[in-house]
Amino acid sequence: MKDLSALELDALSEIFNISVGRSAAVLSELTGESVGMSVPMVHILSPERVVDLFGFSQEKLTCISQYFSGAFSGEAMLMFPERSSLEVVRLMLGSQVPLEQLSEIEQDALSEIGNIILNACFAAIADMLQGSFSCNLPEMRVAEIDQILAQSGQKQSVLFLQIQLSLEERNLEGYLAFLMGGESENMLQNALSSFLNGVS
Amino acid sequence: MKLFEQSLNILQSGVMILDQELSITFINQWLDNAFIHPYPLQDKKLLEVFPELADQRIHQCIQQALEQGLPSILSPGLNQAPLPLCHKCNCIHDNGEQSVFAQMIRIQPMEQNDQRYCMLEIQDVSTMMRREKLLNEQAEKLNRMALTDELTGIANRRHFNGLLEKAVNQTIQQNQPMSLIFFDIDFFKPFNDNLGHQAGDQCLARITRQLSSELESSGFHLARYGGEEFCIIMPDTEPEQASRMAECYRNHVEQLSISHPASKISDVVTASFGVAGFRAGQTDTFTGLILKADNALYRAKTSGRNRVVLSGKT
Repeated sequence: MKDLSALELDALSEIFNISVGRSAAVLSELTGESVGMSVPMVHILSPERVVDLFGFSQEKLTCISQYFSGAFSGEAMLMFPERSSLEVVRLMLGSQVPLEQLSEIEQDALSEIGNIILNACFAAIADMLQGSFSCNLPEMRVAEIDQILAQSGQKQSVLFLQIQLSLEERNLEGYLAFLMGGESENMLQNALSSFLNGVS
Repeated sequence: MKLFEQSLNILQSGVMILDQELSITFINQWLDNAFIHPYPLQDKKLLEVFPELADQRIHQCIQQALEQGLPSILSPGLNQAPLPLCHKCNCIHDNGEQSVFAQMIRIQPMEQNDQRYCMLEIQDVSTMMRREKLLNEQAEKLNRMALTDELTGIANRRHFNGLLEKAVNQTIQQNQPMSLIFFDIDFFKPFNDNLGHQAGDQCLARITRQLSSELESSGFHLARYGGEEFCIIMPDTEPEQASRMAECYRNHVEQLSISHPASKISDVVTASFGVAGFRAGQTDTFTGLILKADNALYRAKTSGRNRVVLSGKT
C-alpha cells in the first residue's frame, strides 16, 4: 500500500480522538473519577519497527486485545506498561491493593476498560468503512512487546497510536495498536480518502 | 436441538438471548430462578419487566451488540450487580432487603436469518469477590505490620527509609528546605537496668504517644530508628525552625516527668536531639542527611545531654 498522506493521518487521529474521548466519558461515569483521554499522533509502522521503538525497555506490557474479522480483519490491542496498568485499574477502582500483580477482579476490570476503549474505536472504523465486521470478546495477557506482536504472525503493518490518559491528576501513557490483515489496510485507506473527499 | 436446550437449562450459570426488540427469546433455568421476579421471563420484554435498567451501562452494551455487533464485558469490579439477581435460598435479610450477588456478564452479538440477537452470559462471582476481599485485607494487614513498630505503633526503620526517600525527592522536586531530627533517651540502659524492661517499654510508648499526635498534625513523621533512638522527618521546614521545634519536643519529654533514678543529669527522663537540614541543589545526599543528624545527636550527647544541637552550628 502507498503511505498515508499527512492529511489522511490527521483525519485518522481526529477520528480516534473522538472515539477515545467518548470512551473517556463512559469510563468517567462508570468509575466516578474524572477520566480524560487523547490521541496525540497516529503512525503506520511495521511490527519490527514497533518492537524497535518500544522493546528497548524490556518492561512487560499489559495487553487487552480483541480480534476482528470480516472484510476488515485483524487484531486490536490496548497496551499499558505493566506498572501503569496497575495504576490505571487501581485509580479507576479506587482501591489500595498492595499486591504487585493484578488480582482477578482487577484483570476483569482492565479487560472491561480495554473493551470500552476498543469498542469506541471499532464503532468509528465501522462508521468510516460503512460496513460492519464481527469482533471477539477481549483477552488479556502480560508479555513483552515482541511476544505480543509475534503472535500476529503474518507480515502486516500496524496502525499505532499513543494514548494519553489523565486520571486524578496522574498522566499515564498507553498504546493502541491495530494489526491489520489482508486487504484491511487498503480498505482503510480507500475509506479514508472517500471520507476526506466527502468532507471537502 | 432438544439436547442443547437441556444442557443450557442445567448449566450452573446464566444464559439469555434477546432479539432486537429486547424480548427474551431464551432464558435458561438458572437465570430465570436467579432473577428477583415472581413469574417466568421467557418472551417478556426486558425493559418492561425491569424499567430501571433503561440507559444503564448494561442496556447500552446490549444496544451496542444489537446495533453495531460489538461484544462487551461488564466486570464485577466496575459494575455493581448490573442485573437484579439473587440466591433464592438466603437472599432475604432480616431487614427484608434482598441481596443481589456480584456478576460477571459477557454480551455477544449473534445472527440468524438476517436477524440480530444478542446473548448474555452471566456468572455468579460472589465467591471470588469475597475471596479477594479477604486476600486484600490480609495483604493490607501484613503491609501495615511490616512498616509499624510493634511496641510504639509508630513507623519502624523500614518505613522511615521509605518516608525519608519520599520527602527528599519532594524537596528536590519542589525546591523546598527540609529537616531531619534524631533523638535519643538519655541514660536509657541504666533506666532499664534499674526499673526493668517493662518500665523501659512503657517509657518509650509514653514519649512517642506524647509526640506523635502533635507531629502528625503538623505533617511531620515520627519513626523509631532502633532501640531508644527516634527520628522526625520534617518536610518544608528550615533547620533553624526545626531546631526551635526540637527544643519544644525536648521540653515535652522532660515535662512528662517520668521518674529516672539512674540518670546522672536529672530526676526525670530526658532526651538529646540532633537536627540537620537539607536543601535541594546542594551536594547533600540521603545518607549525608542521616549522618549529619546522627552526628549532631552525638554532639548533644557528649556536650552534656538533654539539649538540642543543630548540625553545622558550633
